Amino acid sequence: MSDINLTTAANAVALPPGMIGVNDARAPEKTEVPTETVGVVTVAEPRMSARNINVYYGEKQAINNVSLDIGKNEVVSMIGPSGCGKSTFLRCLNRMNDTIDICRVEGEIMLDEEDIYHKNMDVVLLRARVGMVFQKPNPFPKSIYDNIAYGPKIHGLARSKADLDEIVESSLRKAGLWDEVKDRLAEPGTGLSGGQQQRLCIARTIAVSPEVILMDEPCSALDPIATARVEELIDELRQNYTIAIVTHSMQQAARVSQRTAYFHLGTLVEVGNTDDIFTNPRHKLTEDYITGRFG
Amino acid sequence: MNTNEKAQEATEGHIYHRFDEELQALIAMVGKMGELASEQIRDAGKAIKKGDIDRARSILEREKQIDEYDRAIEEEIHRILALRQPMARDLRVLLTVNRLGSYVERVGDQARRVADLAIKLYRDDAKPDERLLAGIPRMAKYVNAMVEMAIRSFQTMDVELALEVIEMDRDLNDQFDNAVRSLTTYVLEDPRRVGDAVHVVLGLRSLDRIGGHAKSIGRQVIFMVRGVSVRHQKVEDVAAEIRSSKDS
Repeated sequence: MSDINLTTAANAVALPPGMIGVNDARAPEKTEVPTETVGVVTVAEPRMSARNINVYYGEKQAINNVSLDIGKNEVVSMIGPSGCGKSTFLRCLNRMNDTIDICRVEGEIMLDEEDIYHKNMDVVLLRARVGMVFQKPNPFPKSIYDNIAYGPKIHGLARSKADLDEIVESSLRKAGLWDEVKDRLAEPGTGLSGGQQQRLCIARTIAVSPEVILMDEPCSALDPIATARVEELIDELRQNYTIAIVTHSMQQAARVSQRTAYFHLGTLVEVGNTDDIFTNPRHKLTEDYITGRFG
Repeated sequence: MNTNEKAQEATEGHIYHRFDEELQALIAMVGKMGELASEQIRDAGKAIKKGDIDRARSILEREKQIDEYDRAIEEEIHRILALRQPMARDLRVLLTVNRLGSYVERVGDQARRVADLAIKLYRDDAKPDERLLAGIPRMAKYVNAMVEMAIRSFQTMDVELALEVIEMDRDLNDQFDNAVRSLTTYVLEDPRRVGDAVHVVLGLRSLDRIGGHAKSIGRQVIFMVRGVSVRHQKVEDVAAEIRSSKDS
């Protein structure tokens, strides 16, 4: 260890004025929530497009005029402090908020060319096309095989037992779980470890051939090894699916996503390439949050 | 609000207050290291000008302190990276401090070479011709100003000042060329002094390199503040970009 005393060194020199770019035109300085999102909310090839989304829980507005595209084969992460509206926004993308009586959603969300809030939209089918993985693994109290086979059965995706076997195997393979469970498909899904259960839930989502996968803090209940496996899986799934993930782990957002959206008090403050957001964010609220200054 | 309060406001704010203190300590260390390097350059110029061998020897002694700062800064950066996982401006500050440690350490190395030159030229009570050495004190003063300004631009996060340092490097190059030209004339007049003249050219080269390190510090400060690397850009382009963003 060095002989130089850091604390002494700090006290020895008065700190300079204007620390952290206060004299630079591009340095983020504003602390108020912006009226317009900083960054480009659109992408060249959107799979889903949300426009002017407002969400209310009774009288209380939870989401304030949020617009955001989610592009094909990209992972978009949504970050922000608790209560900022990121999970509420995520749930709008497959109408999970419909299950909450007092929740009202305004605006337009398109999946490819279809308005998912159109009165003719089949919500059950929508949730197969836009699947969801939750914070805590929630396998059905059934066998590993049946956990995967259930969705394809009810959506009529398999014409025969052989078809179903094929879907179960390919879904488990895509979820990186096949080699670990292939010899015990008849055992209960609830008997797997937490990380395996979460990958089982991802396999279950994949089994109904979704276009988009929504993930709401999918690793918050997992240990670092299981988390790494799920993150690796997310990267592989990106080749075939569009993924939106809500996470409280900024390192996770940085590792798995290509674009990052920062929410604050129901507003989408900033969106941009993940590299830029974590190295050089443009809005001070974003910077304060990712540098641990939010308070 | 006085400047100290301003500085505190700019460095504080992490939920982990200890992180504020760690960053502040690092910034202070770079300041102390820069002061030391500046003192080395100043003394090297004086040692040459006055033939002060004792002063030159004290430069060699003090260089160890600069190396020690470099090592301490590097260790602290490794620790903070591992423990804090900094992002955005905190990360840029750390990356900048890391580079600045190396640049200032190299400034110290070059100042030592100038001190070595003083010891070599004034050994055995020799009194070298003033014309032979004229360029060195002048250039030493100039590069010392560059280093001080570069360190201050880091401490104040001042991109304009950093840009000024970068632009000064052109003038320094002219000074170097002029000094070498004068030495060439001197040697043509008295070819017996060619050996000393070669040593002096190497001293001038060391000072020129110090200016180059100051310039690199300036570029790094611009990266730290703006988040965009300007390391391989032309000075004119960097200046135009910075000044246009100020105007807009």
